[in-house]
Amino acid sequence: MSLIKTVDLVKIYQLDGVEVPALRGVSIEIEEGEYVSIMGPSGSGKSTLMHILGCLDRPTSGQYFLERQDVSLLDEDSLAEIRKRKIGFVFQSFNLLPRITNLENVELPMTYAGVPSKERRRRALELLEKVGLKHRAYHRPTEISGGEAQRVAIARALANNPRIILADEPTGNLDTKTGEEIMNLFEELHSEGRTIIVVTHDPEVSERTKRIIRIRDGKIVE
Amino acid sequence: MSLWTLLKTSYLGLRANKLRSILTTLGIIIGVGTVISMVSIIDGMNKYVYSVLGDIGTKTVYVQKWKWIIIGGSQSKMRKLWREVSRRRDLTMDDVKAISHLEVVDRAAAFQPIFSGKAKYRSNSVDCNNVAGTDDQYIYISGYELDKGRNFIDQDIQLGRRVVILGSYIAKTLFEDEDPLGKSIVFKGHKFTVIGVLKPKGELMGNNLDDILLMPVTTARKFYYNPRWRPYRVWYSFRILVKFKDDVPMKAGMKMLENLLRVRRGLRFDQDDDFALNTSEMLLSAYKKLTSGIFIAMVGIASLALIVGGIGIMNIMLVSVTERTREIGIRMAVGAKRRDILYQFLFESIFLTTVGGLIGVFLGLVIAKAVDIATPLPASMPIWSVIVGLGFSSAVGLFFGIYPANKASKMDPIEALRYE
Ligand SMILES: Nc1ncnc2c1ncn2[C@@H]1O[C@H](COP(=O)(O)OP(=O)(O)OP(=O)(O)O)[C@@H](O)[C@H]1O
Ligand SMILES: [Mg+2]
Repeated sequence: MSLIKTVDLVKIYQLDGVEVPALRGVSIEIEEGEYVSIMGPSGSGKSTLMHILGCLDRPTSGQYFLERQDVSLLDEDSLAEIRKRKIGFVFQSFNLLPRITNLENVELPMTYAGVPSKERRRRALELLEKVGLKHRAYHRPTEISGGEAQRVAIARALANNPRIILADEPTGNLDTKTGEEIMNLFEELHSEGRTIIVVTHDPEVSERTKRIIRIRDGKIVE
Repeated sequence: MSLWTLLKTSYLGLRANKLRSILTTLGIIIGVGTVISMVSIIDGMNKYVYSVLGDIGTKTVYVQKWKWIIIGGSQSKMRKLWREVSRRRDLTMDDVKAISHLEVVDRAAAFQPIFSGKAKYRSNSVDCNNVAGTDDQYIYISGYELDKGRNFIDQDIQLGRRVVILGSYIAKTLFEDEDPLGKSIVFKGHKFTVIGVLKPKGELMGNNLDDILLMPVTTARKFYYNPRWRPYRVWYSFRILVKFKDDVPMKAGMKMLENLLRVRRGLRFDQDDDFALNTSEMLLSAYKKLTSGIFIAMVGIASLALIVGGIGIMNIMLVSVTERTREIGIRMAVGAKRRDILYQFLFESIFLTTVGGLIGVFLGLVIAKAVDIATPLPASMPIWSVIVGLGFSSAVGLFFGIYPANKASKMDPIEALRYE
């Protein structure tokens, strides 16, 4: 069985008593080590799907198997546990904490995983070096450029050595060149054997992935 | 998350809003500071009062025309009472004799207070604030000791001799290095021979105990006592100091004394005492009543301040939670459980109030120290007040932090992440 498998995922939002269907039966499978992009127009349900895949949200109906485990049956604490150990998020708007240093941002997932502080610091520095930002370790996210911030965010996503990286429009706030640098980084992670899922509506981004999943109006197309 | 990380996270959260954090804790600071300083001052007052009363001697009974402590009563009632007191018959030397013959009594001394005045010796003069006519028993009961010279003797009293015993302050001021014994001084127009000088006793409640001038009670009454002058009928009226034998219980002794005086003053069984037996024990119990009243009021004020402070904390924590919605979402996304978020904010409010409490304790200490330096009260901070102060401020943080922290932990991670 694949690393990720969804069966008939449905997500319906309630908005002022009106039902807004965001996903209308999504069934996908992603193997370990795959590099996949999810494409679709705005409002097609890409982010919704990614939140469910990342265990930040739960489907209204349908099943989601992560490493053969039916995640839709788990309680909130177990979902938090999965987010902590198995998944790394990269967001369009970086989502770094502005008041603490880049280093501390990278350490954040490790503090929740109970990694001792020395080990945390060592690994965070190592990760910042990997994304080429060791010299910015003691700066704050507000003191660096967007491209640099996104690289810090990627370092943070890698903190607890997750098998899956989920990125929602990671280049959406960046210029073309910086975006390409970020995609290079993903490629590198992919070559290390990590499973990477990138949500985008930028064809240049999706072209660089190995497989494209297209979604429209909450449904997988073709 | 380890305690250390929690502490650091809280600190960072608070550092971001320094001024706001300080303003919020003001209620806590004031509450704790008030309690600590008040407790310190009361504690100092207690020590002081006990030492003073210990010095007066809780075993001495003062037989007088009025009671030291009268609780309650309207102003007109009080005025009537004092008029009645001023009409009461004075105690007499015969009363002293009768009392001293009681089986339970160790010593009884006559005491006729005299208005203060100037004493002179050659070109030196001094204001004497404690002047009294008394007998040979007085210095023993009141704890004075003769430094040189002699005590009064029966002839001094019987003949009303013009002799005085001086406190060390008076003697020193008048005579400097000269030997006062046998010398003549003038007090309010009358000449006296110094027969004795007392050993120094120091200061008590701002009173110089060595500022004292004693003469035979008969002499005092002959030269200075004027029964038509109202003060001599009340405040300066004749009184008797009584000390019971060591093995006599205070209560039993007082009962005997009361019965004797009632008989001597011819009171019928249905008439109230027209005299009073005062002891410092009475002062002590009145003092205790007073301070426990102050204490209760203080606890009330402090609780109010802490509650107001707590509501302030709750308010600011709610603002903080809203402001940091996105942070909460981020933390949840990287693996924080709801419990982690709850602890983070709870810890933050406890941290805030505990720091407030610490500042309050410090402030209280400073106030107590200032009182200690500026007044004769030996204000001292009992360690339990520090512990209670810190304990309560932490408890306030915990109690008023629960609601905001709970609100933070209940957030939906996706909505929180989307928050601008
Ligand atoms: N919390 C919500 N409440 C109500 N409706 C929602 C909510 N979140 C998303 N939706 C709706 O669900 C649909 C899918 O939203 P989603 O954010 O997944 O789209 P998307 O493909 O990520 O779009 P974009 O490319 O603009 O990010 C949209 O119609 C959106 O309005
Ligand atoms: Mg989206």
